[in-house]
Amino acid sequence: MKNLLIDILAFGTLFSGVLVITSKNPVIAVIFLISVFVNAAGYLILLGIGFIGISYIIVYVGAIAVLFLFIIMMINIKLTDILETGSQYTKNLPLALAIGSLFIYEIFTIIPFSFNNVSAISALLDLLTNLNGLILNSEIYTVDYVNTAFSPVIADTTFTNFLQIEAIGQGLYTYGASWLIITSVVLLLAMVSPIFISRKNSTNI
Amino acid sequence: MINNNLTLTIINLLINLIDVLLVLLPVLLSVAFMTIIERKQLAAHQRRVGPNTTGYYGILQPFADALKLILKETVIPSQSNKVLFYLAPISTLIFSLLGWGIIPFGEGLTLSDFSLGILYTLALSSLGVYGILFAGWSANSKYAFLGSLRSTAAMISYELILSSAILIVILLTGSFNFTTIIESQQAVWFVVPLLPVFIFYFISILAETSRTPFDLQEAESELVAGFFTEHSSIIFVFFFLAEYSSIVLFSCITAILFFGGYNAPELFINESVINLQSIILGLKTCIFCFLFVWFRATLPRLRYDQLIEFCWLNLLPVAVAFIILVPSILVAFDIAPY
Repeated sequence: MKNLLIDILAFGTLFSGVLVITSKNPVIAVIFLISVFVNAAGYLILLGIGFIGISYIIVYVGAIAVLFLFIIMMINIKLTDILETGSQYTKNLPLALAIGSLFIYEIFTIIPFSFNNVSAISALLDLLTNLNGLILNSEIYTVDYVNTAFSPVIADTTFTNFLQIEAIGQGLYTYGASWLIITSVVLLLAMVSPIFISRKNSTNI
Repeated sequence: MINNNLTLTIINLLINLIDVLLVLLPVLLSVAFMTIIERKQLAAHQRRVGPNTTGYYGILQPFADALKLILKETVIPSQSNKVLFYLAPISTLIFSLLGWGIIPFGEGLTLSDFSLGILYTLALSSLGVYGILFAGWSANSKYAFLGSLRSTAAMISYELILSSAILIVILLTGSFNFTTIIESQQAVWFVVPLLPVFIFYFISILAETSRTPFDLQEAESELVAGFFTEHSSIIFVFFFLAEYSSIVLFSCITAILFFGGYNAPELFINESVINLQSIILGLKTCIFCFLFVWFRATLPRLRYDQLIEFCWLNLLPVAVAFIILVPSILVAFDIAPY
């Protein structure tokens, strides 16, 4: 069940990723981008990395994609212009293929790859073993529920849930403390300067 | 063996479904009563009678309203984007109802005792923006679009204040879990040490649920009705339910974060069948629902630039100052909870 859901979410991520590029209307494209983020977040949460998944939703979906959508909705884009330029994209297809295959080659040289890690293939194997069990009437326990990923009753998940934030915090504050402080000062400056600029421009305060 | 597992799964699913229904039905009822509370209370503020003919004291008025709205004709603009037009109200309602999944109504009385509960709430409140944005854009109408842009800008800005106020509460408890937050308020409710934080938290939830004085997206004199101008009949009911459900939800979260949730003086703690704790949480929630309507009856609507300026120039610096001040105090007196 959980494996199946993970597969569906992974497929949804890839599918909506493709739709982001192919859809003509920019607003629809951003909506599919949001779908990519939500699917990826669900994928991460089901894998047991709940904190990263939820921060995906808060940061990417809640802040960044809203700004994308906001700006694209406000700009007056004529659909006919986009349709005209859309036909020019296909002539760059060889270039895209070259760059894409290079990227995939690099990724595969970095990441160790085996067919057992591809969940679709391993799911097929699971199905085969299940069928074997049905036919040969042997007992196989392969049912794992979705709620094992969420339900805090199970000691393992509570452990991991707590350890995640603490592990991230431990790493950040011990080994990257100075970088964290520098980043936070940069962010603070980035927040203070727009406030200052907007305060100066407004005359009624 | 496999058959046995299957029945177990089905029984589990059924129990989960019943759990969810046990929370959802009272929530929807409370949303219905919230609307009648608002109308009666506004009437009382304005020295009118208010709705009083349907049922005793007009208590059945929300159901009559809902029936009327459902029986009306659904009008869909021909130039609209149909999928998003329907998706927007549905997603708004779903996201505002999903928030109830982690609210503890008593000791251990919760659908999910999620260890990242507060982050979940924040994620849902940021997802709620999309329904409004899609509703305004898909309707292909200027008024709806302007309303949704206004609403989104306000919600994004005030979400910053909301999350920084919640962050300060987290600093005091050291946990994202709602139950832990409630348990750590047994000595003193967080409203006592964090009164200024509570004030700007409450202002930000008024803006998050887009109530007066921040209900700029439904300024009737400028925009017809805001982002749901083109929505009618049942899909309008969805928006309506979502708005009031989020009001009740945020009142409940306020009670949990700052007023001790189901905690009460020793007097109310008992082992009998009736769970007084959830009644106490309900009473605390009612106080904030009352405050929401009180503000609506008292305060005039702000101008839009005032709304944004108030957030970015006044509230945000205060919030940042408190984010620096509170941990400094915790470190200086060595009273951090972790």
